[in-house]
Amino acid sequence: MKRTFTAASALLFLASVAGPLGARSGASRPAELPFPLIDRFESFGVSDGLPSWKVHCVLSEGGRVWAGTTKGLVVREGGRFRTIGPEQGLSHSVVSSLAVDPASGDLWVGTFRGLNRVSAGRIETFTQTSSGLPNNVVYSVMVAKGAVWVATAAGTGRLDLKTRAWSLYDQTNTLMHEPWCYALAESPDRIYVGVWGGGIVEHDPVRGTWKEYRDPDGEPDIDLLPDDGPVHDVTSGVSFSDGLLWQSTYFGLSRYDGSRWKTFLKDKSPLVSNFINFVAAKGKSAWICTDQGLAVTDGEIWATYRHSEGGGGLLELSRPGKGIERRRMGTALPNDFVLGASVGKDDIWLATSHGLAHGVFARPGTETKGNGK
Amino acid sequence: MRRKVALWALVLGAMAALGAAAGARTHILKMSGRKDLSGVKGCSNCHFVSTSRLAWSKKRPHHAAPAGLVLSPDGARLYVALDDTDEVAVADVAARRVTAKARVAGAPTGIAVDPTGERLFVTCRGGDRLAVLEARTLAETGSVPVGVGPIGVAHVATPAGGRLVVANAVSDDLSVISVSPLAEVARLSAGREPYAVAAAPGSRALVVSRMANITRGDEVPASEVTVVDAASARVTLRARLDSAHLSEGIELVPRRPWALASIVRVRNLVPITQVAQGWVMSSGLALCDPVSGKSVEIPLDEANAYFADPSGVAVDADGRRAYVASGGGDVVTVVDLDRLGRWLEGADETTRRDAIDDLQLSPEYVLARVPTGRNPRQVVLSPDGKTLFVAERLDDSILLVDTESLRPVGRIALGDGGEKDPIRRGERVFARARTTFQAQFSCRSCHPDAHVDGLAYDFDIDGVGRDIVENRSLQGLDGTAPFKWNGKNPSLKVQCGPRFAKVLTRAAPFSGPDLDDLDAFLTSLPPTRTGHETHGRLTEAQERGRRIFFAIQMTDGRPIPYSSRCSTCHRPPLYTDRLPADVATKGPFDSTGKFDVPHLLGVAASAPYLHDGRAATLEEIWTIYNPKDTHGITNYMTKHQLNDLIEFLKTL
Amino acid sequence: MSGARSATGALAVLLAVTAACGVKSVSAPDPSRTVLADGSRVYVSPEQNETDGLYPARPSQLWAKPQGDAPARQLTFGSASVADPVVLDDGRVLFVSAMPPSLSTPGTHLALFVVNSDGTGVLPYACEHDGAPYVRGPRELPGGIVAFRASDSPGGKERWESVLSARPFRSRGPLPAALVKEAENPGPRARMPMGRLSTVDPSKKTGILLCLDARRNSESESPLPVTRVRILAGGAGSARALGEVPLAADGSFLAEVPADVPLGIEALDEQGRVVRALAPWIWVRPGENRACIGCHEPHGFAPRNRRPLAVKEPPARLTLPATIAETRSRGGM
Repeated sequence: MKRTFTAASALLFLASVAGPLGARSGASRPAELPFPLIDRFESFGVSDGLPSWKVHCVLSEGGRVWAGTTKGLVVREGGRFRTIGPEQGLSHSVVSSLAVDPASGDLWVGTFRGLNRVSAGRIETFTQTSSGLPNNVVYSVMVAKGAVWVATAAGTGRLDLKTRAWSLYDQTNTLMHEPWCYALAESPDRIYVGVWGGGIVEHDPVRGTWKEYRDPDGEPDIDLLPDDGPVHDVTSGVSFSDGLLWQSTYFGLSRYDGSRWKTFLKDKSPLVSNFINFVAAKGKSAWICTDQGLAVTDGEIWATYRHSEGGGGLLELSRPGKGIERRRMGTALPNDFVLGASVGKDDIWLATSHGLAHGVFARPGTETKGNGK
Repeated sequence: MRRKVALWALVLGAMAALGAAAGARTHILKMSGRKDLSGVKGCSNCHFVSTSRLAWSKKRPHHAAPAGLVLSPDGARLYVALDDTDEVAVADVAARRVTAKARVAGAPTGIAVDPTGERLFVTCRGGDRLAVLEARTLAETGSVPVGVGPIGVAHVATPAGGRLVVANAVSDDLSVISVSPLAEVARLSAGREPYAVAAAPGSRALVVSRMANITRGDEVPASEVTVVDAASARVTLRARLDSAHLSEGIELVPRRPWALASIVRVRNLVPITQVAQGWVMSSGLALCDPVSGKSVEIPLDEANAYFADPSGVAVDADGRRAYVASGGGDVVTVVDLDRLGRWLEGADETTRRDAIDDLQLSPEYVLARVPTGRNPRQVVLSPDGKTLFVAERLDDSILLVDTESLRPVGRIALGDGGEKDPIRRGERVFARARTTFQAQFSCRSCHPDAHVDGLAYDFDIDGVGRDIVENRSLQGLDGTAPFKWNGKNPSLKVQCGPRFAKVLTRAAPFSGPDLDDLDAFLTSLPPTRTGHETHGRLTEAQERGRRIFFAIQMTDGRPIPYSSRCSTCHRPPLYTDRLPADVATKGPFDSTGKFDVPHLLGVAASAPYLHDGRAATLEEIWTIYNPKDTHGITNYMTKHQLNDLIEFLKTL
Repeated sequence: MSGARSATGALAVLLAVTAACGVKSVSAPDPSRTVLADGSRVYVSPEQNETDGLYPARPSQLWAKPQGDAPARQLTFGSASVADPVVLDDGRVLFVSAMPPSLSTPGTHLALFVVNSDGTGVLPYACEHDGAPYVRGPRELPGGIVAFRASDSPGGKERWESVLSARPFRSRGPLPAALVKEAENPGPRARMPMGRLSTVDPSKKTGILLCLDARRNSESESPLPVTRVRILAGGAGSARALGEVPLAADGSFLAEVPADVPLGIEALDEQGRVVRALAPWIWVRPGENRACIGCHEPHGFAPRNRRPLAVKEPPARLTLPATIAETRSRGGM
């Protein structure tokens, strides 16, 4: 009896320490998590050399980090930031999207006035008046299957990198509901276009066919029936990885495995906010950029990063049947309004509305480090 | 009696011609309401034109003109690509004669050899492929498709094995090719018309682009040296060469941080009030640092003598001498690189910047000018540096020059030179510079391959700053008279006649026989190759575009007036009715808005567009410069339709 | 001095000049060397007296007399007398004259000049600011060498000097001894000079002057503080200002000026002070468009590739004052 009481007390004690108000820090990655945890954040802003605080998009490749801001493209090399703007030949200062062509290393930059190819310092611009670009307002750019794809305010364009021929896709020649295209994703044999108000259209480039995925509810404000299709038609982002297509909207998150949809809403899942700006799939998981923080999930387990009310950062780990585990972090995102992400093997770069963030993944068994740059 | 008959025939013929012209004008007036028809001579402006009757459709003689040269690693054999005869020849250097030839389809142009000497790599610019030949037998052992119009090629040793970098001049890109297995591993963008390639240590290749970029307004044009890491198949640097064009040679200099690229320094933004003092252009070398991308341009010309169209470059193994062929001047210029290096060391930033314009500078480092035969283009040095081989393209021969005495010591004959062929003779007239003042430039200088340089010029005859006009292609122009943007020259002989000498060359006009031969050469040129050949089958987009081009009504059914249809003025098969048209593009500095309707064959490769080159792309002709539907009715079109129209135009 | 409108007369002039200078006479070049590609013969007229100096009221000029009955045409219209014309292989006429005295060269300095066969494009060729100030008798030798007689003073000891046509402003020096014999007796020319079609438009009375950047000068890298230029016309002692032309933002100017009269240029700063001056010496032929790089521009330089802003406006029209017009209408011989 006495031994049982003592063991139970110990368990209770441990539970209390590990409870919601526990001050335990440390972001080691338990073996069962399907995604890495961020150990610490570094933040960069105007004082570090960024041309503006608001960062729309970010891309990390080959040791360099590119970021698109309201005042130009910025590149971080060797720890220093360098801005490339209209003075250097960029078509516009508002940079909305970035993509690298893995075949050549060229960077493609979408802006609010056209598309740019940045290659070894030379900038070549494409506008709707000088080329077959459907519209100057470029929301998303992607290099896939030997072509550059652009999602614009008046349709999706495809530039064949060998023949230099442009093809245009909008509501007149596809199943798109309307021409305002916002997001792009690629699977091994498909191209996905997120249409603003038109759900997702899927393109088979070999057959030339299109297929549409729309919110079956037709209800703009609620998800009437869960898991019946895309959660909403206003698609802000699409991303594909490992057989899974993820859709971000301003009204929740969806996931499609080729036959079944799964929808995620704030009040029905650990999703921190339905207002999602961007989604980046990696493996079986997706990193979700919301207006109230950054989340990552495989659909079952969630980790959310945001500011803590008392200051500093907060990691909320949610596992089925285990409630939410909250951990303080010594560092935090510069801002919870997260607009974009670029996920690497050891880290993640994030575009926020007030700075660029670098999240360093924890190695197994390491403790959380304090703020640092 | 016979005289009477002849006289009557003459009179009746003249009446028939007059009648035909009058009839044609009446017909056009009725169809279009157009009255300004003094250019109409008969029905043939719009009808009965057949390309099969044009000079460029007819068979012509082919010549063994050397295009690319390479020596075997031991220097014993010289391999020559003969693009006009679809052959590769091998010559015994000691015996100074060709010992074998092999057929290589597709206009073999550039040629490289692997370090073992066992294989040759040949670019076939007409076949868009790279062919691999066994050097010993010249048998073709492999082929890989590359970009469009490949010219230069270099073999680069990399840790990943041998790689080839091919410059695709028509598609403006580079192919990186693995030798084993033979496959294209990457296609990288280059400057405009990448032309010559040089291998460099560290798995690199340097590619110089022949033409300057398309500019807008008064922008200063520039060409590019592209530095490629052949191992990773990445462009690592793009160096800008200001106001440079017609670069056809590049070579790395051992012991120095330079690559040398031959350039023409063009002065297209300066009104052509004279030719003296290098006013139109001058030739030079760009010293380009392939690590930093910085470049210094230096002159090869002199204050009172020019050596036009510098082409191939060769550098000796010690980096002490460079040899530069002057295609228009018929010399090889020998440059002392030690003296050049000393000058460079002593030159401050301003001196370096202004060097290319200092026409008295070249004696600091030019050692000699070795006279050659006609149109020397490619040059290679023997491995021991003692002999320079010069491709005399328009003599069908290779000149051998002893590099110690700097004297010619022999020739390898490839063909008969083509003296009896007026087309060949005309090409010689076209390529030689001595018909211009102080031999400053040749026709080729602004019309490489008789095409365009993409630049606009201010000829002062119309007034300084007035009537700035874009260069026009000379390819495919048979049957498209009149000439000149204002259509005032009724024939090529007038176009290239005394007025041309007065306005541009500032020298004596071409002689009668030269003019005849020049005419024969120019009219023999087929339309430009654009890389968008359809082989008789249009894609869906091209077919839609074709229907738009020939449309007689808009999408909503409204008719397009006859005079506003694309096909009215741009009538096939040449896509011109050879009449002047006013499409409301008269600029503030133009004396007229009426321009000769240009033919559209090869239009995709003739940027920029409109008479002054203001439209950088085909799209801009209508998206920017046709706000009131004065250049055809096009504002009804959706972006889809405009895109389709462009896709169709690219096929012409 | 006696002279005549013929090669023989020119020789006589030359001999007379050399006699006046007290130097051994030098053979004139072979007569073929004063013949243009169209067969016209170049000569000097009118006669000059020793006391006339270099800038007489009616300076001697170059003329070209075609074969047959066609009238002679005047080639030069400068304010200084000319002498010793020879036709170069490139078709231009090389001759001796003098630049007007200036701040950098206050005294007399004879130099070699070139002009096209229609009188357009007059340019300094060599010896403008360097070496002995008296030159005469230029001749073109094989190998790109131009030889001439030079002395430090009129009547002083003469010597053969030369320049390289490749760099005439940087190569003045003694003529190699091996070439002296050739220079003394050049013989008939080996090939006809290059021809040229005239760009003169006789229906016009004016020409165009274009300067790419009047602030650019040969003396220093710093641009001159010039904001406008004043154009003058007329010979020595009779020059009149035609008007002023403001510079465009890039330093260029474009002016329509009277043809066939000596023209001078004064570069003025904001306060109207003369920063650089070229006394009337150059001219434009009717319908000629004449351009230069800068103000006292560096010799032997090609222009930078930039569109001059001045060409975006019509040229400033500067007309000839009545007095000069009267003088010109009396004409030369």
